[in-house]
Amino acid sequence: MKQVEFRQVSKVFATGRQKIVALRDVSFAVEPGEFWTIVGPSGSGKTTLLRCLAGLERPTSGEILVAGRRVTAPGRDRMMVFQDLDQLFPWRTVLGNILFALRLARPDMGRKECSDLAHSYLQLVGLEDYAHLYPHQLSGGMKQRVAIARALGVQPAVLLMDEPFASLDAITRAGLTAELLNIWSETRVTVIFVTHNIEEALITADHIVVLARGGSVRALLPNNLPRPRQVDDPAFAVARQRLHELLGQAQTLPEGNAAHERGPEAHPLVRPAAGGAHLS
Amino acid sequence: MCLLALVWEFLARLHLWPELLFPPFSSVVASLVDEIAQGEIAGRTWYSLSLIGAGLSLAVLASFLACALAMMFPACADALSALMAVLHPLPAIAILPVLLLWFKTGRHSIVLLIVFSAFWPLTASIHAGLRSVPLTQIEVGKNLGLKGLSLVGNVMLPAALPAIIAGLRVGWARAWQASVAAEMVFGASGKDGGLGWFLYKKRYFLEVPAVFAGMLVIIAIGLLVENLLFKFLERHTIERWGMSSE
Repeated sequence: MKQVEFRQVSKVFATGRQKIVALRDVSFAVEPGEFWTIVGPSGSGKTTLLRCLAGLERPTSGEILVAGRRVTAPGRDRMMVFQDLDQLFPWRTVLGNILFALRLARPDMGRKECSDLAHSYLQLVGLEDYAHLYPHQLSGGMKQRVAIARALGVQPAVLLMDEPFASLDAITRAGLTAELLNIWSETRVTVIFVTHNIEEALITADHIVVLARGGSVRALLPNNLPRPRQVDDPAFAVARQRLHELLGQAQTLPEGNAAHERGPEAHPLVRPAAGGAHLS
Repeated sequence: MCLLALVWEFLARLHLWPELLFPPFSSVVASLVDEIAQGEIAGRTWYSLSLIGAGLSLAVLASFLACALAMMFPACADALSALMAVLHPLPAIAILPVLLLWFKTGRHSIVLLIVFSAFWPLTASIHAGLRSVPLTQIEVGKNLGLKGLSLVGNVMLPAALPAIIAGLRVGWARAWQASVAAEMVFGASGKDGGLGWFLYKKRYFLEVPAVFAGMLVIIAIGLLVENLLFKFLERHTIERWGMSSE
C-alpha cells in the first residue's frame, strides 16, 4: 500500500470575487520510508499541498490518502514541522514540549517510560543538555530541532516539513539538513519536505516534485544521485542545472492548458550518459 | 517614599496652611495607629476587599464567557465590539444612579458597579489576547489532536496569559476606583461600609489625619497587590517563559 497518495488534488481559494488556484490536479504516490521534496517558485502551492496533507486545509477536489485512508482532518499520523520559529509552546520547557506531545499520543504509557522516550528523542536531535530550558532561551536552529523531536516523538507515519530551516543562517541550515538525513536514515520515517532551495532538494530527496506557478506539477523526478550527496560531485552539478532549468520554466504561468495537458516530466534527474559518473 | 514623608512633614510644620486641612505626616501616622488599634480600619478594609473580590470574580467569569462566545460566533464578536465601543468610555460611576434606582443602595449596587467597571477592560484585553495567539501554535495543537476545550485550555489560554494578566491589572485598579467612589456617593447601609465610607465619614467629622490615614491604607493595599500578587505571578509565568515583552 502507498504511504501517501495524492489523487487529482486541486485547491482554489476564493477571496471575494477573485479566485486563486493554488493546486491544480496534483497526483503522485509515496512509498513508505521515502524522502520526497517539493520545490517550486513562490506562489506555486508548495505550502498549500503540505497543509492539505496535514488536514489543515481541505482540497477543493480530488483526495489525499495516507496508508489507504482518506485525509479529512489533522491527525497525529502526519506531524507537521513549520517554518515559524515560534511553533514551540513557550510556557513549556524543551522536555515539556516533547512530553506534552508524547502523552497525548500515548496515553497508555507510564510516566517513566514517557520520560525515557522523550529523552531519547532529545538525544536524537542532540539537545539532551538543554532539556530544562525554555524555548526563548534557545537559538533558532535549536528550536527547530526541538520541533522535529516533538513531531517524531508522536511516531507519525509521515513527517511533514514546511521549509523548516528557511529562517536560519546558511551554515546552521546545512548542518540541520545533514542531521535531518541522519535522523531519517535512523527512523526510516516517510518525509515530505518543502523547500525553494535547489541544493537542499537535491541533497535530501529520493523524489523531487517540481510545482509550477498556478499549482500544477511541472515534473516528478526520481533523484538517483548516490548518497551521501556531494555538492562538488560533477553529477550533482548536472542535476542542479537541470532542476534550475525546470524551475525557470515553472516561473511562467501555463498558457491555457498546454503545459498541463502535456503532463509532468518524469525522467530520472541524471541520465547515465549525461553525468559521466557511475549511477544506478 | 521616606523622602516624600519628610518633605510632607516639613511643609506641614511650616504652617503655610491651617493644620486642620494639611496635617503633618506624624499625626497621620498617629491617627493610623489609633484607627488600627480600634479595629475600625481592619473592618473597613476587609469590607472593601470582600466587595472587590466578589465584583472582580464575577467580572472575570463574565469576561471569559463573553470572550468564549465572541470566539465561537462571529456575530457575538461584532455585538461585543459594538457594546464595548459604546460602554467602555462611560465612567463606571456614571451608571451608579441607574443602579441605585434598580437595585437600591447597599452591597448589590456596589458589587454590580465593580463588575461593570472591571468587565470592559478585562474583556477588551482577554479578547485581544486570544485573537493574537500565534496561529502556528494553534495548528500544532490541532495536529496533536486537541480540539475545543482541550485546545483552549492547553494552547489558547496559556498563550494569552500576558494579555490576561494585563487585563486583571487594569480590572483590579478600576474595581478599587469604583468601590471607593461608590461608597462616597451614598455611603453604605447601616454599619457596613468600606474604606470609601471611612474616608467620607472622617471628612464629615473633620478628622483630617484619619482621612489621610485611610488614603495611606488604600495606597498600601495597591502596592501590596501589585508587588506581591501581580509581580509574583508574572515572575513565575510570563517572565520565566520569555513572553512578557509581547
